[in-house]
Amino acid sequence: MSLTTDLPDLSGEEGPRPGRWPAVGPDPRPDIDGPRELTPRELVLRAFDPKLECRGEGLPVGVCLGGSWPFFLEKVPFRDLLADPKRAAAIFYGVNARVGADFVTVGTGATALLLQALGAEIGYNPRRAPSIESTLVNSEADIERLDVQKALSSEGIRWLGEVARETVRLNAGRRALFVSGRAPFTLAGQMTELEVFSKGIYKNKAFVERLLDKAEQLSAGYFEYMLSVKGLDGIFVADPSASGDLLSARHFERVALPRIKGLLDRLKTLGKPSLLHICGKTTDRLHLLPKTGVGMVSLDSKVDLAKGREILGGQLAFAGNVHPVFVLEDLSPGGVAEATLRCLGEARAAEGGFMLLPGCDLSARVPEANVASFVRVAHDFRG
Amino acid sequence: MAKIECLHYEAEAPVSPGGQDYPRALDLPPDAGRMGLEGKESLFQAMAKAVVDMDEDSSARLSEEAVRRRYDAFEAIDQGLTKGMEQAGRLFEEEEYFVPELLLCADAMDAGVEVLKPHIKKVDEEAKCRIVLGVISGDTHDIGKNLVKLMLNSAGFEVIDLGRDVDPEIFIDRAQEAGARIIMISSLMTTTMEGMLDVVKILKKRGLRDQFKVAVGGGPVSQAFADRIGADAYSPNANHAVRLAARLSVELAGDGTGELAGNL
Repeated sequence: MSLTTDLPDLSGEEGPRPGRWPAVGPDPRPDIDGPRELTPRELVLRAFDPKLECRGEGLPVGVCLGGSWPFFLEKVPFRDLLADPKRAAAIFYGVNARVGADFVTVGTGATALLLQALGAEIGYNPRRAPSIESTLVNSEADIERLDVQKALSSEGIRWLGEVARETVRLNAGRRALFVSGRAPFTLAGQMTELEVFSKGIYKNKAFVERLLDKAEQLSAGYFEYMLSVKGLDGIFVADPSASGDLLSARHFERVALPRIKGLLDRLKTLGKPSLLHICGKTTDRLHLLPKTGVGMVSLDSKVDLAKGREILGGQLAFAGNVHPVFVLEDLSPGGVAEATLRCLGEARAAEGGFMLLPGCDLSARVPEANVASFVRVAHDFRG
Repeated sequence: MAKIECLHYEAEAPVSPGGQDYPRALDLPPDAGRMGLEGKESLFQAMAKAVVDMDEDSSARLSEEAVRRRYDAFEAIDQGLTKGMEQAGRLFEEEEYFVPELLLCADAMDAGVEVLKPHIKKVDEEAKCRIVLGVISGDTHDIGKNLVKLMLNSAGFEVIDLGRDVDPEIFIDRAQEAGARIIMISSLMTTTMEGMLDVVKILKKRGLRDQFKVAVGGGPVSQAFADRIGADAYSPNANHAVRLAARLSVELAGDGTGELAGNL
């Protein structure tokens, strides 16, 4: 059965293969999920409670922190999909379903499309997600000129909404669908030069705060718009620039953390669970994260999961952190399985409050077989 | 509260929780350049401290004092401002300083250099070691690359900055054009770091591998990754990149080509 008129009909074939349009609807590889009482969606949502132990039904697992890997895998440039949200949803959701991901994000390209709607130039490259090619804000006057409401009603944002609606339809409640977008701190850094923004933390606090105000409006407005689509389960907030590779814990607490909290406070009335990912080193700021109001923290590969459990255990659920390059890209499926098992051991995954994720985004060169092996380890895990 | 050492000063670390936002290792009087800094060494140490303190005004004022006293401007940069930048780099490596602090230290150094530059006797630019530096294609994050650039410049290397999102061939073409034999490549993204391998592959394909040293760095990069792609070296941070460049430069000098290691 072909679900959309412009997708090839795969009926009668053995199953989807890389490079072909993925099948959607009934899970094409039910053996990956295996028999269990909880649906993938339920398994994910259960992991948000740090006090619930693993019930021996496998662990929830997600594959994509960013949104590009499915498009790389299917060899479809992101730009080609802007005219066809249904096709974008079919590819993105289809690949996630094919590898057996329980946790699926919606909103790939959101940052670029939001900033484009504010006037930034966007670059498209088949090897990466769309990138911001121009600086939106060079002065405080530029901040005032940014029209958030106009951006939120732009064609790009409507496209994201259409992709979300189609993804919900394809999912039919089976997997956990989370809207992904950027936190205000990272978004603000993308509106201006990161160097200007970094120096402003010391030298021009008023500029930084006004830019953060604008970024928070934009981020919250985007999430509210997307979550108006019925059937989306939660919020995935990425704040890559709030990393310990860039910013001290002291400045994180003063500048970035209040904005994550402000965003999540505003979205609290929607009653959705939230997951936060910060790239790079974060061990020195993990103890601060419960203050944000987030429900789960996704840890980068640079973070020791045992240390993460020690700091967060009992307060916040956490996720992570198999290395996307040194494991998922470089090793064989068997090597991936071994490394993933080690990761689950370090995380003390059997104690619950844990979801398996890559430590950061997947590159175009990650083989699908490796991702399938990664997923299988989580699903076979019995504590 | 942690202590840091700034040359012979010992002062409160600038990362103290609840401490003032604009850390200062030691408060200088407004006219410090004219008070209590009678010897050359004392003045140079105060210049270094101004850089570590991220204090542009003091850096410029103390540099003016060095000019007024007719100290050698190059020596003032080398023994004063550059020493401060080296200390800032160490603090960055020790995770006492982060990107904003290092950028502001560089601004303070620049403020002093601007004062001293017109007074520098002619420098043999040809003697400087040249390095080609850029962010690999697909990646537009250049803050790490910019930090490496400013630390290399501070140490006296000549950096040819290719910017971001640079195709692998361009690294090699520009290095050949400029006569640079060290290629430094950065990537902040796991999705693009594999592109660094292409630089090594193209060098091999063109029969040029032995003529260049390739060093890689960036958030997700590691020594193991550098080894796997056949790079000559890996640097975990901007300060280490200076030592690395010096080492590579010495290695190149050892092959009879006479490369110099910046000011090191």
